[in-house]
Amino acid sequence: MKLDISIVSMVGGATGASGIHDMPDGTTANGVIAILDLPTEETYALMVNDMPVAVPDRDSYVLNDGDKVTIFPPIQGG
Amino acid sequence: MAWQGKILRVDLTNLSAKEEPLNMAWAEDYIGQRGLGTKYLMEEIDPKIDPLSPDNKLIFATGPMTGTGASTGGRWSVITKGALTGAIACSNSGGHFGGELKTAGWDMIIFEGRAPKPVYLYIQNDKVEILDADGFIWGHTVWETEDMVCNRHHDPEIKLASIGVAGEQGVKYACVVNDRDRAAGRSGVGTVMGSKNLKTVAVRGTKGVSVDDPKKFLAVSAAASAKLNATADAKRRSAVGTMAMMDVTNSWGCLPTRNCQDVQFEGAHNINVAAMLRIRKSDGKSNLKTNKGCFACTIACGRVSVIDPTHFSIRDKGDKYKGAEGGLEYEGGFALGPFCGVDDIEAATYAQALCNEHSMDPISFGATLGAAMELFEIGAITTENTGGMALNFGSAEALCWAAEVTGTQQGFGKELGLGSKLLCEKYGHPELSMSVKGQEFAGYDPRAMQGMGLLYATSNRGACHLRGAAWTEDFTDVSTIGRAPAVKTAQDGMAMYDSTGLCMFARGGIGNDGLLDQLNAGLPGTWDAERLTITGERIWNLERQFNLAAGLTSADDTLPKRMLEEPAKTGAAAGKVNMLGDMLPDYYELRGWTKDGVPTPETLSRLSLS
Repeated sequence: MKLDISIVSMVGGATGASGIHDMPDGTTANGVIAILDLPTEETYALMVNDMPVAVPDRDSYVLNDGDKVTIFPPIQGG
Repeated sequence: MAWQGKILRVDLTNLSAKEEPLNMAWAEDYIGQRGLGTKYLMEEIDPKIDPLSPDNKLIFATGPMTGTGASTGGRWSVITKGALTGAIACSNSGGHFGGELKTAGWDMIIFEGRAPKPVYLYIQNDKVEILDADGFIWGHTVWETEDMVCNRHHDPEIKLASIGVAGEQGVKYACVVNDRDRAAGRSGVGTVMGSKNLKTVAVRGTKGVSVDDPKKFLAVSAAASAKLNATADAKRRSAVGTMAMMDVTNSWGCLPTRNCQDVQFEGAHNINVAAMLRIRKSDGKSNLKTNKGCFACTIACGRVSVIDPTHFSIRDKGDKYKGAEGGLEYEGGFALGPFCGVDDIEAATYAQALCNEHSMDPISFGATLGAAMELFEIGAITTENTGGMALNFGSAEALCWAAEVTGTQQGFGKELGLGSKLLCEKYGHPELSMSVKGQEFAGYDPRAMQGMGLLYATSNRGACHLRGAAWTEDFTDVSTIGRAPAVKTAQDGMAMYDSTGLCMFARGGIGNDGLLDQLNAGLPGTWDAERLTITGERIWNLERQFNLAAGLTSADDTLPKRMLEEPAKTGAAAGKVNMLGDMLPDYYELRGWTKDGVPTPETLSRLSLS
C-alpha cells in the first residue's frame, strides 16, 4: 500500500524521508517509525489523516492505503 | 561560591547607589534569579501599587550558575510588577549581559523610585555611576544606545540592557533588550524601566566568578555540556532553531492564525524553516545567515538573518537593516506571521528587527496587531482611525507600517501600544483580545493543546508557554486526561529552573542530575531532587501570593471566550474547544488551594510560606 508520509521539523536524513512510501499491507503506526528507521531515542507525535494517534494505540493502529501520516519530534517551544 | 554575595541597590529618585549583602538565607530557599528576585519584590513593595509608579521596583537578577561557565549558564531575569498585566512579572533573557553583571561582582540590581530626568547606569566592576541620558541616548533606539555608550566609554566590550523609544513612551509590552537582540521580553518589564527614566544598564566586568569546588565544577559542567550536545533536541535546535515549531503547530492544528480565527495557516510554508533557508532570486542568498549562542551555550539556537535588500520594507532605507541581525524565532515568527495572516518572511523579519531596536515584545505586538486587524475587518476600526492604512489580515505592508509607528509611537501606533486587551476594550470588543491577565497568547492555540489552555489560564504572569507546558501530553491527544498534574509539575519545574541561571533548553538534555552536579560543585551545601521540587513549588506559590495580594482572583484564571465557545475549524481539535472547566478544579486541588484558588494555610505551611 502507499502512504503519504510527512516528517516534520527534524534534521538530517529523517526529514528527507518525507514522501510517498510503499509499505506492506498491515503496517501499523509504530511500524512506519520502524521501517523508516527513525532514531529511537525520542518519542514522536504521530497523526494519521490529521488526527492524533496516541502512543499506546500505535502498535494496534493498522494503516490503510492512501493514509497520510505525519510524524514530528517532541519539540518544545521557547 | 558561584554567588558574589552582594547586590546593588540604586535609588533613582535621589540618584544614589549602595552595596548590600545578598540575603543568603533567602537564596537557600529561593535559589536565585526568578525565585529570589520575586522574594525581594514581595518583601519590598505593596503588590497593590500602580506598576508605573515610583513605588514599583525593578530587579535585575542573576542565578547562582549565571556567569560561572556552567552549561548554558548565561541567563538573567527582570522581576517587577508588570505594566501589561498588573501581576507579578519575571522575564528571562540570555545573551551575555547576565554573565557580565555577575563577572562585575553583582548578583542583583534593585532599582527604586524614579529618576528626575533620564539617566543610565554604568558599572565597571565596583565602580558605579548614574549618568545623564538626556541629550545623549534618550530618544534613541536600543542599537544606537549600545553603539553610543560603547563609543563614549571607549570600550566595545560593554554589555547593555536597554529600552528603546517604546519603553520610554509607555508601550505596555515594552521589553528590556540586551546584546542587540536578546530580550527580557514579556509582561511590560521595559515599560516599568521607562517609567523610572532609566534608559540602559551598561556593564563591564573583569573580576570573574568563583565556585565552591573549581576542579569538580569544571568536570561536571563539561560533562553536562557533552551530554547536552549529544541529544537530538540540542542538535535540532542548533540546526533549525525554534522556528522548527512552525510546521509542528501547523500540522497539529494549534498555530494561532488571524487572531485565532483559524488554527492552521495556508501560508506557513512561506514563513517556516524551509522558507528561511530558501535561496532568494533577488540576491542569491537565503534569509537565514547563521546561528549564534548565548554565554556558555553550546546549543546556539539563535537565528541570524539578512533581510532581502530589495524588499519593500528596507530598499529605500540606505544601509540600515541590510546587515545581519537577530532573525525570526518561533514566538516572534508566529505572531508577526500567521497571527496577522502574513506569509512574507522578509516583512516579518523586518518587523522583528524593529521590535528589537525599539524594545517591543514581538509576541504582544504581533498579537495586538492581529486583534486590530480583526477589529478592522468587522468595521470597529477604520482607516479614519489608522490615518489611512488598511489593516487587513495578510497585509505585509500593514505589518511593517504598524511596527514602525508603534515602535516610534506615532499616530495609530499609540493605540497599538496599548496591548490587545485595552485596545479591544477601547473599540468595543473585549472578547477579541487573545490574552489572559492582559498578556497575549504565545504560539499555541489551546483548543488543540488542552494543557496549554490550563497553563495560560493559571500562569502567574499571564498567558505564557514558558511557565510549564504539558508538551508531551498535548502532542499525544486532544484531551484533558492527565493535564492538571502534568501542568502543575511542569510549572514547579520551570519556576525552579528559571531560578538557577541555566537555559530551559538545556533542561531535558542535562537532566536533574546535570543540574544538581553543577549546583553542588558551585555552591556550598547540598541540593537534591526533592529540594529542587519543593523549591519550585514554593516559588510558584509565592508568585500566586503576590497576585492575590495585588487583587487578582480565580476569575482571572480563565481563557478568552473564543477558546471556550468557538470550536477549532480544522486540525487535531476540529470541532473542539478548550475544556478549562474540566481541568481547573483538579488543578486547584492538586496545588493545595481552595476552590477559589487560594493556597490553604496547610499548603503555605508545608512550603514555609506562612
